[in-house]
Amino acid sequence: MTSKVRQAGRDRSDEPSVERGGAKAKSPRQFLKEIEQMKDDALAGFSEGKFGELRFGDKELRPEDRPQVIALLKAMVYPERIAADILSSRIPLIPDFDFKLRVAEQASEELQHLNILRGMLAEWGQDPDEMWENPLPELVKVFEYVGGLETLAEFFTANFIGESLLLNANLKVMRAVAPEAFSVYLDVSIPDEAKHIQLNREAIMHYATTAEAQDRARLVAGRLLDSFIEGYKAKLRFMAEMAANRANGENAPKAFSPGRI
Amino acid sequence: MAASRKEVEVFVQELEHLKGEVETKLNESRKLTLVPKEFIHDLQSMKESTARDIRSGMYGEFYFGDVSVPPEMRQEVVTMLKVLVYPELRVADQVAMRIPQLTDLDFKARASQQVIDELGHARVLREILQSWGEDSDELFNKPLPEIEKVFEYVNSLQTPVEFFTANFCCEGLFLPSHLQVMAEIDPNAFGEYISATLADEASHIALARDVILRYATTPETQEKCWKVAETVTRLFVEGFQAKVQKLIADVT
Repeated sequence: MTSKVRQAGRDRSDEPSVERGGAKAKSPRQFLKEIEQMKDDALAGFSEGKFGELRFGDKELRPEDRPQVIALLKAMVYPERIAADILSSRIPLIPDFDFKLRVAEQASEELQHLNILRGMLAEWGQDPDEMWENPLPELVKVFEYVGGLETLAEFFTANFIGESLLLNANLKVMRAVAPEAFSVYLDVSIPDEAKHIQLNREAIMHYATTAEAQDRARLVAGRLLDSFIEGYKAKLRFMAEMAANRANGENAPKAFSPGRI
Repeated sequence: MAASRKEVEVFVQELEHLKGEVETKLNESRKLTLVPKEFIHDLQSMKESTARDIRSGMYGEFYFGDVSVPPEMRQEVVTMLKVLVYPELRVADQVAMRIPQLTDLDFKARASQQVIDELGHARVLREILQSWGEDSDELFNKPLPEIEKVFEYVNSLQTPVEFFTANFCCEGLFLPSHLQVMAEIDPNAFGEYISATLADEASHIALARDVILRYATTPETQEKCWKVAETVTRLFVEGFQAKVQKLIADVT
């Protein structure tokens, strides 16, 4: 191993704060802790039900007969698919080999999650691409924002917030409330998401090392928290609408040919 | 009721006539557009002919030094491995960038796997070089201009089908002109890299072929793809020659 390579691999995460252009940067570990705290504060809000609660209808019914379950799965198609695209586009911009490879793996895993979601929906006679073609605008906003971020510190911070909230405020709740409906998807996605979050943690510590990078990443974290919450509320609204439509006898599952999947 | 001999003869004549009509129609349409399978066949022929020329030594030959000397002691082997880092990493980047352009989810997933594979190949190369105390990124940071040109050209291609046509040619040529030659001349030096790459190459070529089969269905697209194939094949050969020269230059 060359000395250059050895140096790049050195763990500086606990080194004291450094001065950059007059502004003070936190140590990478301290900075990560700050971002973790922002995320934890938001998660507390989710736990308290401040932004609404995920409900999945009458448990007596089969999952495929519950509009809330179908609505959520349909709404999740867009994030899984667009995330794979955004991650793939970012790969050429990542100079560090290890992160590059792990982001490539993440992109591939998001496509596997997508495949599971689409498979479930198609099996239930639903159009799996309905909300890829017509996604919730609040979700589109989240991903447009993430896709447009300039630096890797910002990108990985946004991903960290997004993936952490998805795991804790969505996936784990889905598992707790309606495991019978979602286990096929969750058995794969939950372990993967935990891995993705860890990748983002390490990447934040690697890239957000200057005062300027940390300032920018901090702003991104705040903005992502807000837009994730908007996206979450939009999903709840959509689920409620689907349930109301079903109660009114509308929106029967569309005839769908599984050949399309 | 059985048909009479005469009736059967008439029926066969009718069938012959119909067959002739169908063949005429097919030949007419071929003037406009080759069916994708035939188009692939033509690309394959172009590739095979170039591979034959390369293997015949028309553009020079790889020489990896005295095979009785350990590979890490031979500059030719070190240079060859260093030269290969750039293409592996660039292919990974370029395929990754095309993923959002692919609308077919099967292609998307396979391209995504290709990115992982290519990065895996680069990792093997880098680890071998680092274990020998070499700077694994030397020729990634300062690649051979002729190889850089191949990737600049491929990167400039607009549509996924043009991109994967270029991939089809380059991946297909890489196998006989590099991997096979390296395996034949010096399996000891290159075995680890070849084992890591060989198994993946088939699936990458298959992906490129399937994209072509799906999208190269009009005369305009086929014409564009044909031009891509011609250009990229020429650039590939120039890259090959540059590598041969580099191996010679590094030991003299």
